[in-house]
Amino acid sequence: MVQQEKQCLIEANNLKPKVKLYQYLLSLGKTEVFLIELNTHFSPIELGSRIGVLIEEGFISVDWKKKLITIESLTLKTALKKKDIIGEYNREIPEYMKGEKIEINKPYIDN
Amino acid sequence: MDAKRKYSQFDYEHLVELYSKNDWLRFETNHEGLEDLWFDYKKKSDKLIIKNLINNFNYLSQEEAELIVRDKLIECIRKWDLKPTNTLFIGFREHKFPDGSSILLNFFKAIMTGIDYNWKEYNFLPDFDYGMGRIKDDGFTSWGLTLEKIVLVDDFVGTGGSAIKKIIKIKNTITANKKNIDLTMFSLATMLGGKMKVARNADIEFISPIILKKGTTIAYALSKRKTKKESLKKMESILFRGSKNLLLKTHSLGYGKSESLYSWNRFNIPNNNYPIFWWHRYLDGSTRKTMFNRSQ
Repeated sequence: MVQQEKQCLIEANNLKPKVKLYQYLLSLGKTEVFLIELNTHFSPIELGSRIGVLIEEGFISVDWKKKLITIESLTLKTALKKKDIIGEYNREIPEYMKGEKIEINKPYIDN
Repeated sequence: MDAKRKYSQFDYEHLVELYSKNDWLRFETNHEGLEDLWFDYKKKSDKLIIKNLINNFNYLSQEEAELIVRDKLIECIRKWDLKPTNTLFIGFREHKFPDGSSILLNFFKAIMTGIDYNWKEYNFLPDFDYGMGRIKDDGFTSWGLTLEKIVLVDDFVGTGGSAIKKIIKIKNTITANKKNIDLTMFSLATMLGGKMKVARNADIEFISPIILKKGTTIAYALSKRKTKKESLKKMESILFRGSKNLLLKTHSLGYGKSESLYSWNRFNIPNNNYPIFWWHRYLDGSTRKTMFNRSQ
């Protein structure tokens, strides 16, 4: 294991829970953050889950080769609008649920 | 998850990517299983193989399965002219214990009732031999079902070997009893090789909504497949060699070397999947927590 990796070993039980990812990213005051910089605040599953939501809403993008998060520049207006979108928690219908709809117990076959 | 688990930079970055791109891994049991599998291996090259296979894994949720099955059943009803008064769906179960086809048939029962409430419990028979017995008696005539159509049902067709045996057995029974019954087959998921084998060896209409290619075929370019398969075989060296009834070598790269990457939820994963995902003992015989459950 290289020295760089030894330095970033973390223990899951030392993680600080319930840190909001976007707020934390903004608090760093940078436009780009390496994934590994977040390892003291988020376990892999916590970070992976939260990144997904922020990518979908356009707050961040991730270069998986460089392992680098880019915080998208937003005007106050667009940022507030996006905050509203997240706040609404509107669930989109996934593609697999857009199949043919049939009324329950409406006979499909005429006997 | 092991509370004292330590992540190297490599582990951390790759696991974050896996969780971000595969939302099914975020379920409690799945992520614990993934991390146990991840830390079973030390070499980065082995971990990257796991990552690549997981990124190409077909994990079918209950909701997805319901919609896929419903749409395909509607297609089958139209295409094969299936009616509650002339059709039996017969499962593959040949012993007294539950199997994948029984689970799927139970699923069918609920979905078909939604399509048309005239479908009844007796249209769905999980026991293969009991179903065969209805051929001689023309179905359930006293309940208004005169048998004209049989749909064989299984949740998963891997190599196609079991399906061909069943098809031949039921065809022979139809012929021996001089009945005029249309025989068709439905499988929720099927390996491409198995589907081709069934097509070559059994003259039957066969519908399967999910067709799967081998894991290394999906995940790697042709030039890399051979070496990746060798690496996967080496990765199996941490696993218990097995007992007389269940040998690891017959399941190397999945039963029949199927190399499946598929599970309907996480229970009872087909044995055609790579054993690193489900083999439940280490080489020394100690218990191994597996990513997917399979009764062994």
